[in-house]
Amino acid sequence: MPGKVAELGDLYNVAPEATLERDAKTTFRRMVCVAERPQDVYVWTAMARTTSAPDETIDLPSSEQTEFGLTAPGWWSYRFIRSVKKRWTGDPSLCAYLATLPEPMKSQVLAHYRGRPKPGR
Amino acid sequence: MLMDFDRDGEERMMNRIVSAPFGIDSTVWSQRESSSPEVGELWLLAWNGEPLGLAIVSGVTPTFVLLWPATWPGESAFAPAISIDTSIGGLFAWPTRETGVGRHLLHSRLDQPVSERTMALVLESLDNDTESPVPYAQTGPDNQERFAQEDAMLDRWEQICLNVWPKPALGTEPLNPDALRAVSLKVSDVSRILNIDSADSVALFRGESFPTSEQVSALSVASGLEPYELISSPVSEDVLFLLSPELKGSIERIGEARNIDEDVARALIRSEYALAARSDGNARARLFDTVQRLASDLDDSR
Repeated sequence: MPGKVAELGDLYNVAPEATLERDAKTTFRRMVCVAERPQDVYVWTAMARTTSAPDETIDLPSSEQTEFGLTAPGWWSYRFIRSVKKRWTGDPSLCAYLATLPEPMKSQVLAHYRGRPKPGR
Repeated sequence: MLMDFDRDGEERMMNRIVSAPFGIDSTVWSQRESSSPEVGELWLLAWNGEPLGLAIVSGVTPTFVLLWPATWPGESAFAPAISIDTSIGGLFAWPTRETGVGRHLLHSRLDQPVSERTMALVLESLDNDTESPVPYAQTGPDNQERFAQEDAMLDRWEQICLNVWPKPALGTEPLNPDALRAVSLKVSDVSRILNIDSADSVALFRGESFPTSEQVSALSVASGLEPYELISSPVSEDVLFLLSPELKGSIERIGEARNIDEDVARALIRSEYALAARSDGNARARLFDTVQRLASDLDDSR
């Protein structure tokens, strides 16, 4: 089964059940793996893409890419980064693998995540 | 799932946290602060008078923070959660489970148990798979009991992440045409769904008129999108001010005394602020005055 293990830049169509059973949003979400978390048995870290609620001052614009299931222009947003359960990753009904983002999109998305506010030395 | 906060004689009143949540020392609780968040601080998150969780701040923006979720004092966790000593006791925090949280949930700053430099070193150790500068929790068994504990933790923090304020106000804000296009709804579709002519549909698409709550409901049913996703809601200056943790206590008091939920109390403040005289001081001062006036109205009526 492709995409059973999330790698950097992998795009998934994530059901509410893969993150939360009582998710406020009833439809699937497009989420990209931004940290594989090999040390954590249970989760990897995903960054969500919004088409409706961006903060245009910080979110990364993302053009329509219908071949990857990105059916409308949107924004990658680290406001909604969160954990996705590994044991359901790649399951077609819960967390279907869509594609690995092509370059330069993959590098841009990962750079956006790495540029988030975080502890500095 | 919230923990039981009523054990050990602790008292809670509806819509307001009046004593230390379970596991937090009452002396520390009495010294809590609500200033602006900074990296490395331990915060209690709360909504509508309910304690939601503890977390270490890992990043700050004007509207939200990034956090490392933490356990309650005395709660167990397994690696790769890290062990942290705090003024309320030993906790575990998950740098691998960072999440974003709206600033409206920041209730009380309890401690600054870890330096920004140490947090940066923890992240480096995770990235490079090298030894952590902070000890991990013990390694746990992979059994059903742990599955249930981990799932409960993940689900709780997902709910916290998705707690959004403000939610768009129906009837007073424009449609989001991008959301409609995302589900392939065109002007002609909106005309048909709402039974309006094309000129009115175009006006809705352009934001020249605002949809009623009934129209939003009809579009929600037709599109499969949630009502709040159909509405554009830019961050206004009063929203930015109301995201300040310094105001959360007053907002809770207003909600408690009027027996209304926190989001309703916040909407009341925004409404009163909109009606306030525009010539009196700057916007931030007017907003603070509005909150203080609503809070003092309560004091006067007692």
